[in-house]
Amino acid sequence: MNKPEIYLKNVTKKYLRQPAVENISFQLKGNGVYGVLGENGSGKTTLLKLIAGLLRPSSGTVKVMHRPVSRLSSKDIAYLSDADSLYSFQSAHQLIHFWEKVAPDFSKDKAFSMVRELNLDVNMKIKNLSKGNRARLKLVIALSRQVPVLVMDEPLSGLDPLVREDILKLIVMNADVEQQLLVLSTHEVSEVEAFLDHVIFMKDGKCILEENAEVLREQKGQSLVATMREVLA
Amino acid sequence: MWWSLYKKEWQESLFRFSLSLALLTAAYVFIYIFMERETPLVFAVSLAVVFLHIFYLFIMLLASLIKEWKENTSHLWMNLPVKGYVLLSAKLAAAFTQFLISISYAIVAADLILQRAMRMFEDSAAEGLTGIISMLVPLYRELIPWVLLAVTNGALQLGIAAMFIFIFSKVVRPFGWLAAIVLTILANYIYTWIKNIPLIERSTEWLPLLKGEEIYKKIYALYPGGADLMEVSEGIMTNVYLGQIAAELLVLTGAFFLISWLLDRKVEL
Amino acid sequence: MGLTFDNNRPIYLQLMEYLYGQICRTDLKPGEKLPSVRELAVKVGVNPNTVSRTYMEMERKDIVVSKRGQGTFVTEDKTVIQELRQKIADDKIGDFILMMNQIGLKNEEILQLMEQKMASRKEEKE
Repeated sequence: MNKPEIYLKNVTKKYLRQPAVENISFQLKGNGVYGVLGENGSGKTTLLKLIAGLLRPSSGTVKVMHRPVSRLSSKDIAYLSDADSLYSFQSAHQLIHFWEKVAPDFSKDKAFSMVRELNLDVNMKIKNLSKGNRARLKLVIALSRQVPVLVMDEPLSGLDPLVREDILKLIVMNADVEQQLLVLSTHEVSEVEAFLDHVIFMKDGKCILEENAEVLREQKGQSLVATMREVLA
Repeated sequence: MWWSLYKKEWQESLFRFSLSLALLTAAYVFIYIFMERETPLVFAVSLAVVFLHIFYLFIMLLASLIKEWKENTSHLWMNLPVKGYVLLSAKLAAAFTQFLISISYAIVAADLILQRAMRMFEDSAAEGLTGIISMLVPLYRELIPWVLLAVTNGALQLGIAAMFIFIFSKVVRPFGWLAAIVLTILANYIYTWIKNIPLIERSTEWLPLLKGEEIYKKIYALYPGGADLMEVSEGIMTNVYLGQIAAELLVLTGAFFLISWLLDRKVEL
Repeated sequence: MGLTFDNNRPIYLQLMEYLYGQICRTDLKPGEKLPSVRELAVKVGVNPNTVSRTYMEMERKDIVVSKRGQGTFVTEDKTVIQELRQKIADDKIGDFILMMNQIGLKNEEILQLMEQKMASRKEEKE
């Protein structure tokens, strides 16, 4: 697997003249967990879709692995949507076999071992699974891909505390953060505080701070939650 | 890889397909039973059946794509590490297979209906008409491949148009779909114009498959003394050439790859 | 999940202190294998990269050795562990004395207070 890299230069995305993200530039290099933090409506989802090549910037450049992104960047990027994006008519079993056939980087064994650990009923239709289990299964698919870049939009939002803890555990156990670059967005910093290597604070579509998490703690002598409160105020 | 996508598209559309078959069955049964009593209504239903087949790919492909977006599975579909033409051809192929099944069913049903019509007329009709009617079924059987060809061509064109309209609506927002409809009509107009340039027209006229003259002969032969009237209508006689079909397919393939390119490079979630 | 961290200080430092504690009181014996990066990450509830960094820092200080393909082990050199224990004790006692001096206690008073306290307390572990 190649060394992961994400590069944004003066990226702006407008919807009918209304900017959703504005003039964002940063470069994320190498493995690790990158948290995109900010309140709802701060442009996190738009930023993540731009990185995943599922939106086109109104101006500026987005590159992943040194190439401008498009839908075809999906060979380097696994994108986890915040929506219920699985085919409800498939079973977990069918879903995993489908991905094995469709994505050359997909590890069926890894997917099945995760599913077994989660005690998911693989023969049940996805539409009959609980919301928490659908979220888990969605994550299993993203984590079973051996790609340099993982993009996860709000993997915790809208779930019970127990499920959230479970999902974090699933990510820590199975994301290959010594190889992969994982970008995840959340508005709940306290829960992911200890998991982040790097943070990107967003406010009103702008990136207002981008820094290594430990450096921030050392410099400011305060937690990310406190830093967030300070910079977003 | 392709087969898995094809299978997924089948799974996704199975309900719509079954529903369409059920509706068609109801229509055929209705025509079969009521053909002598409710003739105008039967005619209308038959017309609806033909239209359903011409628009089958249009409706099914549009439904499939709209559902993909409406249920947010597009987030997953667009992130599949697979080229756009593979994704779209799986959708097209699944709908086209269903179209073929449905139209085969229609042909068999029409045959049975015509046979019944024949028996009915034999019982009641005047002496002179029986001859014509007894030729109707063989003529139907002979001409059906050409009807099939025409309907398939129309259905494919509309199917490609549906994909273009939907995909373009995700490229240009808002009102991309409206622009796409205008573009489709314009492209069709230009295509027809190019097709009728004498030089181009002649270049596609190779390997005649069906001679218009022969069809007219057979149709006119249904009437006593009809063969004598033939000379009059020579102007509207057309032939079907393999070259024309190839040209038609080539243009559709070109359009398909253009749409695939749009999906890969321009479409937004 | 496992440990509670003070999020105001770098997590890798806190994790290192936690592991030093285990090594000094031989919960982790000389030569014993440390949990894998991923195992420990899940157990204490941090990112595996943080654990990696902690292990790296500890290796730089010769407290642990990593063997290619096998994992990370506590050093077998008991003197290194002894030195570590000594150093932590020195640092902490130094800090303590400084603090006591700052509130105006003389060294003999500190010693006296310590003896009184020690007599009334049993040994504790963390």
